[in-house]
Amino acid sequence: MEQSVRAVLAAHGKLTQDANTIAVTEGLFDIGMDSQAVIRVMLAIEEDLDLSFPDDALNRDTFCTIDTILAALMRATA
Amino acid sequence: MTANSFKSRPSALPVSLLQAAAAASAAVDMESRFPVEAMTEIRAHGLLGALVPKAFGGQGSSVGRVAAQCQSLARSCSSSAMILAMHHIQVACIVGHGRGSYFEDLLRRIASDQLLVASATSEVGVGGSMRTSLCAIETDGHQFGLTKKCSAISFGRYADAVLVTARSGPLANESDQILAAFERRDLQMEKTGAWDAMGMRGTVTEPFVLRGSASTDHIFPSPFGDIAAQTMTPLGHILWAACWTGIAGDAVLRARSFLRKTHDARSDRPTQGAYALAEAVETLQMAEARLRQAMRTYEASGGQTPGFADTAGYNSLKISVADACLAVVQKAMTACGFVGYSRSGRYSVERHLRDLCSAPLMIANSRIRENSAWLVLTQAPSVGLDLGFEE
Repeated sequence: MEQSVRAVLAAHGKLTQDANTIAVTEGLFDIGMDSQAVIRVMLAIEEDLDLSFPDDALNRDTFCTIDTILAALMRATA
Repeated sequence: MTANSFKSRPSALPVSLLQAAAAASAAVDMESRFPVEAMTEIRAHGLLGALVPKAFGGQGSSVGRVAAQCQSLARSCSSSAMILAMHHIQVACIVGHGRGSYFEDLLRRIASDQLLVASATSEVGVGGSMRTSLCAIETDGHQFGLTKKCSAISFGRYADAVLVTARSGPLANESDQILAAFERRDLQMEKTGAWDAMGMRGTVTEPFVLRGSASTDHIFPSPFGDIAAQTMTPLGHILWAACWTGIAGDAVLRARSFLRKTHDARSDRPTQGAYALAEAVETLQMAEARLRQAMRTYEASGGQTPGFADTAGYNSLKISVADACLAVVQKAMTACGFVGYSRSGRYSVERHLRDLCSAPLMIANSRIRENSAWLVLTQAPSVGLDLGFEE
C-alpha cells in the first residue's frame, strides 16, 4: 500500500523531492504539494487501490504525510 | 449617509460610529483616504478588540456578532467596514494560531491599545496565489529577517502591526510558508505605488516593499497552510460577504425609499422600478441565507480543518455572494433610474456599484472556481435539508 501511495505522489503530488525516498513523516505540503495536487493524489489513490477514503478523512490534514495517508487508508480497509 | 434603516433589526453598532462613518464616506471615497473618522469611533468603542477573548481584555464577540457589525458598518461606509473585516480576520488568526507569551501580549495590546492589524499575503511575482511565497525568512535561531515585495497591503500605512507570509527558509519550497507578526517598530515600509481605484477607495490598498526583523517568537508555530485553511480563508470569505451584503442592503433601502416617495397611490399596478426592487430583495435574501449557513458551518467547525466539501462551500460563498451583491446593486440602480446613477443625492447608488465591483476581484472568482472544480470531485457537497427543521 505504501508503494502505491508513493507512486501516486510521484505522478501527481508536484513534489520537489523523490516520492520514493522521502520519509513517511515528511510534510508533503512543505515539499510542493498544493491544494490541487492533493485532490489529484486523493482521486488517484482511490482509483489505484479501488477503495474510498472515509468521509471524515476527506480534508487537508489526511494528506499531510505518507503516514497520515496510510492511517486513513487503514481505516478505509478495516 | 444611509437613506433609511432596517427598523426590524437592532443595530449591531453604536449610532455615533455609524453616523461618523456615513458623514465622512463621500470624502473618504472622493479623496481615496483612510476613514479616520470611523476608525476613531471604532477605537473609542473598543471594537478592534471584538474578537480578542475576554481573558485578554477583549470583547470576546462571536463571529456572528462581528459579521453583523461589519454588515451594519458597510451600510454607512464600505471601506470602513472592509478595513474592520480585514483586521478581524488577522486577529482571528492570532487568537486561533498564535502561541506563547509574545502572541498573548500582542492580543492584550490589540484590545487595550486598539492596535490595527493588516495583512501582507500578496507578493509580486506569484500571480495572486496566497499559498505561494517567493521571499524567505532568514534566521539565526533567535532573530529573523525578511524582505518582501508586496503587491498590495490594505491600509498598510495606517496599521500598527502586519501579518506577513514568507517561505520558512531560503531553501524551502514556495508552498512551505510561515506567517509572522511584525509591529511598526520591527518594520520599514517603502511605498512603491499608489491606490487610485474605482471603488473601496478608503481601504488605501498600496504596494510596499517590507523590510523587517524580529524575535523568532513572532513566527506562528503552525504552518501558514493550516492557518489559511482553518481560519484566514473561511473567516475571510464570511466577513467579506458580510460587508458586501451590507453595501447591497443599503442600495436596496435607498431604492425602496425612492420608490415609496414616487409611488402613486392611485396606481393599480406596481411600477417597473418596483419589479426591479423585488428582484433585488430576492437576490439579497438568497445571499444572506448563504452567508448565515456559512457562519453556522464555521462556528460548528471549532477551528478544525474543514473537509473538502466545506472548503468548496466557503469558495461558493465567496463567488455567489460577490456576484449576487453586484447584481443587487444593479437592480437597485434600475429601480432608481437616473437618481440612482447620480453621483450625489440620497438615492445615489453609484458608489455602492463601484465598491462592489471589487467583490469578484478580491481573489478572482475564476481562480476560486478552478479550485472548486477540483474539490467537487472529492466529497459529496453539503446539500439537503437538515432534519432539525422537522421540529
